[in-house]
Amino acid sequence: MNSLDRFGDDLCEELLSYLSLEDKFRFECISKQWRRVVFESQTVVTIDGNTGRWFHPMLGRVSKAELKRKMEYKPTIDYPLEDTAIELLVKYCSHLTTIYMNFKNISVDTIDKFFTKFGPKLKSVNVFGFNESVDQKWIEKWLKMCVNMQSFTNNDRPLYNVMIQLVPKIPVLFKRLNSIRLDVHTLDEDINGLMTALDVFADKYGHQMKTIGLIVWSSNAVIIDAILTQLMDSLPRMQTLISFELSFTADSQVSSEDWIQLLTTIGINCRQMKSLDINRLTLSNIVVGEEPLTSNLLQPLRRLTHLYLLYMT
Amino acid sequence: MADNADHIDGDDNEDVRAQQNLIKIKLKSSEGGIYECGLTAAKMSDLVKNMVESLGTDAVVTTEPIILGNEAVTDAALKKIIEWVEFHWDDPPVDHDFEDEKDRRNEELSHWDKQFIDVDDQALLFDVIAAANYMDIKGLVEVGAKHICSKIRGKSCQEVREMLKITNDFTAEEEDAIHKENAWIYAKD
Repeated sequence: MNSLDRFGDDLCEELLSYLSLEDKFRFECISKQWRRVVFESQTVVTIDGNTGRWFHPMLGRVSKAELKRKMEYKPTIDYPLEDTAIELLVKYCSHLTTIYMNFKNISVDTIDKFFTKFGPKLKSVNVFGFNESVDQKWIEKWLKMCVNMQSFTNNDRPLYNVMIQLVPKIPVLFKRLNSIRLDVHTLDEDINGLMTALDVFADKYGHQMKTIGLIVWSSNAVIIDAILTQLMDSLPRMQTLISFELSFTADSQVSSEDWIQLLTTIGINCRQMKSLDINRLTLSNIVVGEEPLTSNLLQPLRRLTHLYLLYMT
Repeated sequence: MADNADHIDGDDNEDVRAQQNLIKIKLKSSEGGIYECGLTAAKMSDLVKNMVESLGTDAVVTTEPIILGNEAVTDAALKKIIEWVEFHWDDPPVDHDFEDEKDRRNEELSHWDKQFIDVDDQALLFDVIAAANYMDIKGLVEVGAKHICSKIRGKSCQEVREMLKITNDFTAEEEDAIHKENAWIYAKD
């Protein structure tokens, strides 16, 4: 009874689920049972193209040179190196639900295969960006495949643009969406697009939203004002919210009246709130002065467990 | 408007859990040994929890031992399991709103858990894991899984087979084919 062979497939799969993806590839040949179960539990993939060893978080210490060796056994592949990794994922990991990925070096064909296989399965989508040459039509197609997405995070402009346009266009595309974190890359001229999206969003998703995060990459007073106004209008329609994050750039100006109004709106309407995070994107010139917080402002938020207020005026 | 939203599960609940753990129930191993365990601790096992709740009153629960018939629940394994649940029953509850599955899976075992699970007798280790799985104690199965995975990390396939006593049921040709496909992984050191 001191042999691992005694365990059934389900327990064996659970036990091996804590291996790194690299070890999973290495141990595939240990036994038929291991081969059956070892990839079944791979549900999370992290690929960060910004680090030098882009493959690192996924396959541990695998370098590009080593991947090239793998490619020698697949002579027909003529994509760039990075595509191979995505192909492997598509081949082996049938149960991906969570991705933290940078698609900047991946070809359209490969990304298309990836989303065709995984799109409807994905629950959490965190994308750091696509190549600049990728047409927004593609991005729209891929995003539309993620119908079961619960959580969405973007970091770059094209994906932001697509999301903002999609929400009013197909209002209940993502039935299960309850968490969204947007890097807002809005220019003056398309501020109305964002306003419309936030408004439709509050209407269609407001009743189920748990997390909202807006990271505003602009110090333009018009944009900030419009966003705050829209939030005052939208937040009362999001009473199930438990986490709210709002970040502005360091040089942006927001009056303490506006802060008090925003916090009051949250205090009155979002009784479930557990985490409040309001900050500047850089901490270099925080001025802690006249504090807009008063005890009765947040008093209704009895569930609050996380509070970050780094934006004092 | 928000009457029920203002209701908060807090200290009261923790007190109830502590109170309930003073109630001792009896668990019976497949070898016949009977051991006492706090009620809250024992309820970390979904199996025990369901059995207790179907029995109803505390009076019944504290007199009759709960029989754990699976052969993995040996005396030694059950003693280990009771030690684990008695240590962990008052862990703070998981906040599903913030707890990220990915973070939790990557989290290292605590010092106590490492010492607890690092048993020399592999048959006992596997009994504990199989029994925890049978009794549906998810946290303990996770501890066992993380322990095994950390022990075999970076080892060769043959070393892993020897450590865990796994029979290689591939034919030489089959194994060759997999090796060839994954040669990039083995070739790197």
